[in-house]
Amino acid sequence: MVYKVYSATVGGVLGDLITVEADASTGLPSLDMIGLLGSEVKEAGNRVKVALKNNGVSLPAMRITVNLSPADEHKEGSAFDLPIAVAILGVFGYIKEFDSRTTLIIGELALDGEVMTVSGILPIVIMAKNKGFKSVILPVANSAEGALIEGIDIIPVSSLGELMAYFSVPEQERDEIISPYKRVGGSYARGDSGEGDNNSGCGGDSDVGDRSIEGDCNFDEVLGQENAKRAAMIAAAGFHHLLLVGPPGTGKSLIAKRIPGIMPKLSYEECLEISSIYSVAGKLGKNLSFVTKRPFWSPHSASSAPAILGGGRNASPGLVSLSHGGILFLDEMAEFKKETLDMLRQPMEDGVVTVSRARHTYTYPAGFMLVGATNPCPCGYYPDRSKCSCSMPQILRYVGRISGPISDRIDICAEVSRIDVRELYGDKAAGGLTDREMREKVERAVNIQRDRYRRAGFLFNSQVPAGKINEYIHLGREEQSFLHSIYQTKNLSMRSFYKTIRVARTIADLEGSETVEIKHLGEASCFRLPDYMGG
Amino acid sequence: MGIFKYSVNKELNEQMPYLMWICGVEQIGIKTYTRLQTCFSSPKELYMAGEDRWVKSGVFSKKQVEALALYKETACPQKMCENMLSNGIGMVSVDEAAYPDRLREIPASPIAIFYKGTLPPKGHPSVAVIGARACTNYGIIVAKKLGEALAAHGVSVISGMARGIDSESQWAAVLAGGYSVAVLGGGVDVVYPKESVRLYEALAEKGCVMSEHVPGTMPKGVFFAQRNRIISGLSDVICVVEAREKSGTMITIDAALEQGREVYVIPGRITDALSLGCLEMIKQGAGIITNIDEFAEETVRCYSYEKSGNDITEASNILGKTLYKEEKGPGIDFLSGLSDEEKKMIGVLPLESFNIDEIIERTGYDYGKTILLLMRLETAKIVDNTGGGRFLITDFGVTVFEKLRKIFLAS
Repeated sequence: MVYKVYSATVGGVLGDLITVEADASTGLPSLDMIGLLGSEVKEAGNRVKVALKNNGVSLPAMRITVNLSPADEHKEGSAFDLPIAVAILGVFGYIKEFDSRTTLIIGELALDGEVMTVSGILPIVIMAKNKGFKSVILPVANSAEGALIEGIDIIPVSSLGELMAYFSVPEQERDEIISPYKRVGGSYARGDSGEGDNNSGCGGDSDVGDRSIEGDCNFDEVLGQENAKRAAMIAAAGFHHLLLVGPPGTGKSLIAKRIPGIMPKLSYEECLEISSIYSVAGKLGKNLSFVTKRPFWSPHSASSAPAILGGGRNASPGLVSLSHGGILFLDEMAEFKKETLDMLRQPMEDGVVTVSRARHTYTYPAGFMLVGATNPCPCGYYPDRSKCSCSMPQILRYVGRISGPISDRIDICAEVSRIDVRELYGDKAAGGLTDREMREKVERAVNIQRDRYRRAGFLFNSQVPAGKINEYIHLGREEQSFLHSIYQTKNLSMRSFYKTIRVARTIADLEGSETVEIKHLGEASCFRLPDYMGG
Repeated sequence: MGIFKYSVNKELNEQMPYLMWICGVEQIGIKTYTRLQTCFSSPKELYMAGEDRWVKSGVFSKKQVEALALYKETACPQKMCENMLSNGIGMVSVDEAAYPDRLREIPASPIAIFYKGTLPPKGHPSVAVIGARACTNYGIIVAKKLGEALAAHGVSVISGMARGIDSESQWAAVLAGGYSVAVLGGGVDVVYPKESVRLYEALAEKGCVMSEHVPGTMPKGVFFAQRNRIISGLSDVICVVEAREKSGTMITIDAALEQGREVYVIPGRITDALSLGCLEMIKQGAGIITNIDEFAEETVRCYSYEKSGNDITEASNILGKTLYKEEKGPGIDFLSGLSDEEKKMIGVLPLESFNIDEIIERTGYDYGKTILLLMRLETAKIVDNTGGGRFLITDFGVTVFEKLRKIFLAS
């Protein structure tokens, strides 16, 4: 007598179907769990036994075997408690009128039978829907997250007792026990993203709309800093990695935090992708069930490489993946361990990161835009020599911590200048452009790029490989000689030559100009890395 | 001085290796060197005499004897000397006529100097241009102008080839076809700082690099303080371009005053950290340079001794002067070619490095216009784009600014 239920786990950012089957046979009373289980899954047996007992189910003195298949896949996590309990209940006939073949069950159990929240719901529900399941039974705390996917019933349970009651009544009466979760205020408006009122689809919905694009900070709060603001807008438009250099306390982080707000609005698919990563990392919950705003992560300089890149025992996604589609902000970049920074190389290049641990190798998306902030020297005031007396070797050593391979991938560098107090209190209009105007310009530029690269396999100017620059970015004769003259007098590298072309293309796109003109190249050349950082 | 009765020629003569050996012992200075003549007739005799006689002579302290003995064991004078000559390094001792006269006058003159290039011409005015290594753009511009003007007036520029003021003034002098001497803090064949290697080569060819240390000596902190007395010793006037309140430049100034040299400084604002040293010197009575050309002319007038007819400097003098007259600054055509907006922008350019925001603030132009104008000025070599949105006015830019101001005041 075997009873079978379905559950799931996540591998990378995808759901994996797991079958949980239970059997009871005569023999010494025991509960055996098999199927290449991690220790938390093995412990599930004890939790389930106690939770069943506390809900009035005393198991007969039989030998119970629980198998989780496929048996060659290592299983981890606490989400199997509930399906195991259900399988055991099924074996002993507690479940009568329930079709376990069309339902997926996930949840962790407390000893009193309460169903606790688990991570990775979103990819699991997506998988369940794709495999044709009709409903998913999941912890009540995860219901909002699961309900993001339409076309599948979400049945939130708060306790084992409740679920047993649910199983004990005929199908038509079940809704009285637990009604399928219905999203309040309708579902995330699919399809209308990217245009119209930017609050549509995320506003008004209490658990989803907690993060509209226009956040609590705006660029018009940043006074002066035209140079850095302009750099931020160009970076956002071409998805260029950006470095902000300046003395302490000038607002480098202030600017960085405002960049997600001027990036194009996320499409539904992008939201789903980012949310899945968040879900796997256990970042979705009561406060945030669906990511609609571009992520912004700012790890401390003491963060370990696994925290940033991903890893740990379960090879879970790191900040580079959580920042997918958004900003990874490295404040005090030169204070990071050089090894940690160097590891950003591969994700910066490929847009994905592969995390390998003893038992798993997962590939997570890592298409982030790096925004770094650094002091120009140990004291922070170079090149203001009246304050800075750092010697040139000291300065080179300091900025040298951002090693060549990383700075090579940073297209834009802008100085953040010290602001005059006069300016802070003056009535000077700041910049002229509001966030909304900036974002509109950025979105226009992004659309132009999408059009240009529609057959190319990439999306942004920053991603044009050096070998294809001539193919996609045409420079006139005058423009070429202008660029060459800059690079000869400055003795710059070929790489920074290409960077300037890419950035100039983005500037031209922002201006709506079909061709790259000298003024675009000139402006782009202002945004190269400072000479002392190697141009 | 000049007590040893022999002459050390550039050829490998008998005494040269042993004299070099003496120079290699740090503990022996000019005083001991003078004293030891009473007991030893030549450097070779000293070398051969050995520890017992050294002690007996009573000339040396215990430490000096130890140092001599150690150095005798570790160094091979003949080989050192051969290496030196094959590397194109010359040596001149205090006993020789070719030794710079001005160095002979100072207390603690070096026993000998090792050099590459041409020794300073005698009876020729020379100015030491010194200052901070971590200097401002203003300091760099002034150092360049000083080097250029001095070279153009046929004045030698003496300095230490250090980063910042030193190397900037020396480069300017060399590029203007003038004569310049770098005094190093290590062996004359050890380029320090490394990034000055091109300047080093230029000086070895057209000017002179020298050191009191035997070739191969690695630079040390104390050597730099010691070499400063040679820099000031070689010069008639010491000119300080930028110095912090507590700075190494002060050591040179103390040495210069001890040697009876005149000290001039470039004045600055009392709020600039890098001018505080200069201002302090003014307070103590240093001269002030208000006009670089005037200063150069004055130096020539006061310090031109009888011309001993040194061809190289004579030639560079003439060459420098013609260059100076003809090529100095932009022509009228260039100036009238500037638009009003460009002129306005040149007028507000700070001497220190600045970023785009500062210019926006000063001109009131919007971002796009500012960028465009800055680019035009960059093409005209008036400003230098140093990346990250930061710019620097060039010395050409400063000259253009000065010319524009003159025209403006005249009209």
